[in-house]
Amino acid sequence: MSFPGLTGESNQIKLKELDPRFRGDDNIVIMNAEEIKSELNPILHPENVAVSDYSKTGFHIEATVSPDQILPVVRFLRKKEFFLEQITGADFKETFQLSYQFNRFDQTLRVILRLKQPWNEYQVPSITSIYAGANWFEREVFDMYGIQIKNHPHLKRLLLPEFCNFHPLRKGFKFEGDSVQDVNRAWELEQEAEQKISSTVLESHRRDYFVNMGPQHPSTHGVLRLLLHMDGEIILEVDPVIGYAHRADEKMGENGNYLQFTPYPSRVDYLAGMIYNWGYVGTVERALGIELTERCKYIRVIVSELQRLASHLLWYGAFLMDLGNFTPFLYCFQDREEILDMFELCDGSRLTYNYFRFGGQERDLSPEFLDRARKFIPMLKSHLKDYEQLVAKNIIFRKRTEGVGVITKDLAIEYGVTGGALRACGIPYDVRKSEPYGIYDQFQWDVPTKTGGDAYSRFQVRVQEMWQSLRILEQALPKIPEGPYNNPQAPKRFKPNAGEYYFCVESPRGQMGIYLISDGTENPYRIKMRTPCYNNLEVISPIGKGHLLADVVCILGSLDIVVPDVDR
Amino acid sequence: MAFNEMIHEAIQILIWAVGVIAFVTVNALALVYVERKVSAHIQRRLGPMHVGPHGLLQTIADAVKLVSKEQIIPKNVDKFLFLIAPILAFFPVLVLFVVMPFAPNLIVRDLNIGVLYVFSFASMEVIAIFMAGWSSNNKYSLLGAMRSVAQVISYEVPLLLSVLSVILMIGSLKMSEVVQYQDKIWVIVLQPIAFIIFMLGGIADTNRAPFDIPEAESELVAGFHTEYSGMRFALFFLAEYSNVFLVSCAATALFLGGWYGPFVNGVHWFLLKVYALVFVIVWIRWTFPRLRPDQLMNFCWKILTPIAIINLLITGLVLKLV
Repeated sequence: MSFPGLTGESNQIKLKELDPRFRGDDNIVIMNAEEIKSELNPILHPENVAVSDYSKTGFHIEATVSPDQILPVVRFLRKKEFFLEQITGADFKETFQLSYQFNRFDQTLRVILRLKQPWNEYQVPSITSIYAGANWFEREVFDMYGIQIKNHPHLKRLLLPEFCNFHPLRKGFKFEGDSVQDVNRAWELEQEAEQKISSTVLESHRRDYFVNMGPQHPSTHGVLRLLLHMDGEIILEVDPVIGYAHRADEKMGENGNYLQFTPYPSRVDYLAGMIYNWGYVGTVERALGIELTERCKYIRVIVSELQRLASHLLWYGAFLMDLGNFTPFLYCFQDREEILDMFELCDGSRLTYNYFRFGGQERDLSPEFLDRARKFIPMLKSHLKDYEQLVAKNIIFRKRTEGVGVITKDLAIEYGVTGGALRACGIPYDVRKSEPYGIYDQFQWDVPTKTGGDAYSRFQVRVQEMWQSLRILEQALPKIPEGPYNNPQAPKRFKPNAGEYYFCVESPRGQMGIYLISDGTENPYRIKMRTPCYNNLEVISPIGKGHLLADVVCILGSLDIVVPDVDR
Repeated sequence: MAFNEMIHEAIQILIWAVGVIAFVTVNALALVYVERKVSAHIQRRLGPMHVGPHGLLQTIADAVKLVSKEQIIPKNVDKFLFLIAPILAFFPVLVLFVVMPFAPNLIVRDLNIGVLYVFSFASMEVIAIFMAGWSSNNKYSLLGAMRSVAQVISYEVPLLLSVLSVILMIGSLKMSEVVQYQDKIWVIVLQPIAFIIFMLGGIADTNRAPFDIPEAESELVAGFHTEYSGMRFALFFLAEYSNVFLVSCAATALFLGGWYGPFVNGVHWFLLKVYALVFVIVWIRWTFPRLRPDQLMNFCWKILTPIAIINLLITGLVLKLV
């Protein structure tokens, strides 16, 4: 086995030289929905494939598949370099539906495959052999619905504890105190597992051992557990164990009406609350077809970009702290503090905002807010230059990050990696550019990319993103028009048409989307959140192999994980 | 020896012992305060401000808290080693102050093998760290201890080679003579490379950032002292700070002319230089990220050691020719 951690620099150069994908000279073949539809014809019956109205549903192609068609179709999509966005289960009382969602990095072409069958005869093969990133999604479906997935390599519960005997997202599920077994049982199970491991180790006198990094550990950024299989300091395998911060956000969404769910998304990723607000509100607006006022559009861009800056600043400090450099953390915190103060002015809350409403905002941006924002931009610019001098050119920092945790394009496609982690491997995919929401297409800005795919490239990309956010803010702040911040025609009570809707935004960590199934009532029927950290964390298993323990911390920091965002 | 002289000698030893222990403790508290204040100002904040004027009594309050805390001994530890390790970590610190030449008349014992004595006792620290890591029965502790052993043993090579080139020039291992040699010109002027190697090796030997891989809180939680709490933790803590002080003391005596300075020579010059070095070490800690273990080893064996050897050869050659 090779140890990329020990031969750091050469790795990066090799990637660039040998892999034609990184040269950036291959021709991009633009495909349209009709072409894909016709190419799918040999596999699927034409009646089952439909070209959808993107502006209404968020999908380009909707297809119904049967269990024996799923593997050929997915294989076809993999060959066409579609990446896996998400797999969602939904309980329709008598029937159960799995939807597989794919998209492309170079152009937006969202394909959704639906597999609907009666509950009692549900049969579905695993697609992990084609898309390795489907592993967690399929486990989650098994966890939440109890659907057995054939040929899955490791089908066990993902978010809930293993001793649970219920499947909470089934419509018939009623929570009863008795259905949760004693916590002691969990403890016993852990003990048994541990004894099993330790006895095998003792028997065979093996050199390797296991370390549970987390759920309480200074640099797992919350309650994340990494099960490390190690030989000395070298990592043989990384297995993230998630679910410690699972708060059943999706179930809560089904239990209330549309407005009642608005506060929850900002709790999912507490570092990007404003953007998650937009993600949810935007989905409902797409379902209802609500138009926004001009001022509202500007407000949304301004708060989102400030939020992105705040999130990236926190990441900047936390990443450096993972590498043992404590000081930048406090510098970045001071800048972030200024943004939080501004948000307090506009929303009253400092971390978990509830600022967006269907068709507008909760209240207007005050002149004081705009004033402070205008003063903030030049201040942050000068600070960013200082940080660049202090950190990015530091030799220790570069040695620690260069060539560490390289994500290739193939991995990104299989795992659905998005955000800065994806742009660091040379793919300029940004939801704000590829499917512009709001008024992002009216501003001049670039999508920064780097070609290394390693932790250092991810660092550079995020720093560049901060500069681009500042650029957008500089254009948006002077131009913000007067007028109403709310669309007065937006309905207070509403029932969206029955159907499926998808809307996504670019969170600081990647593509955050909400997949909404409406049954035409006042309550959402199913809400699935496509959170970027879920996919971005799963990729640590392949890229962490062969590195040192110290590098795992670096990789985790560079991927910018927010644990509740993974667990939801 | 007359009986009176023996009594005289015994009282003298007692006074010195009490003096050394009092100095070590008070000094360590002062160092903690310095670290907290310096780091705070590096990070654009104030640091401790509430206990006493400008937080001067904060470290004393912390020490009282640590002393009064419950002594937790986890299950399945090797109890004997677990209990003895912090004491063993603090012991060399006390012993090392015996030969430190603060001023012409302020040396507890001016041994004629002073320099050798300093470095042989200083390397005992690693045994205590390994005992702590091994006995804790914790994987992070053991990893930290393993890293520590590898690091300290490696960095002692360039450290001692750089000291050797100084000793070669001076021709004595006696601390007072080492300082007296620098009456006219400080050794740092003659041996700048040796000084840099000495400081780097010293920082690595005391497990300070950026060489703090045995503790590496973002990787190993707290490294070898993960399982320690209360006063036992405090002993490791005080030992670390005292070691920083001792490395600075040794550097001052060997390279920076000890008690010599403009105007009046004396202990104030010695302490001033020592605290200046401590400040630099603190400054480095709060500025740089941590190295990775393999990079640390590469740096030692591939860069520092060859330079130290070449420096020693050149020193010998020049001394032979001149």
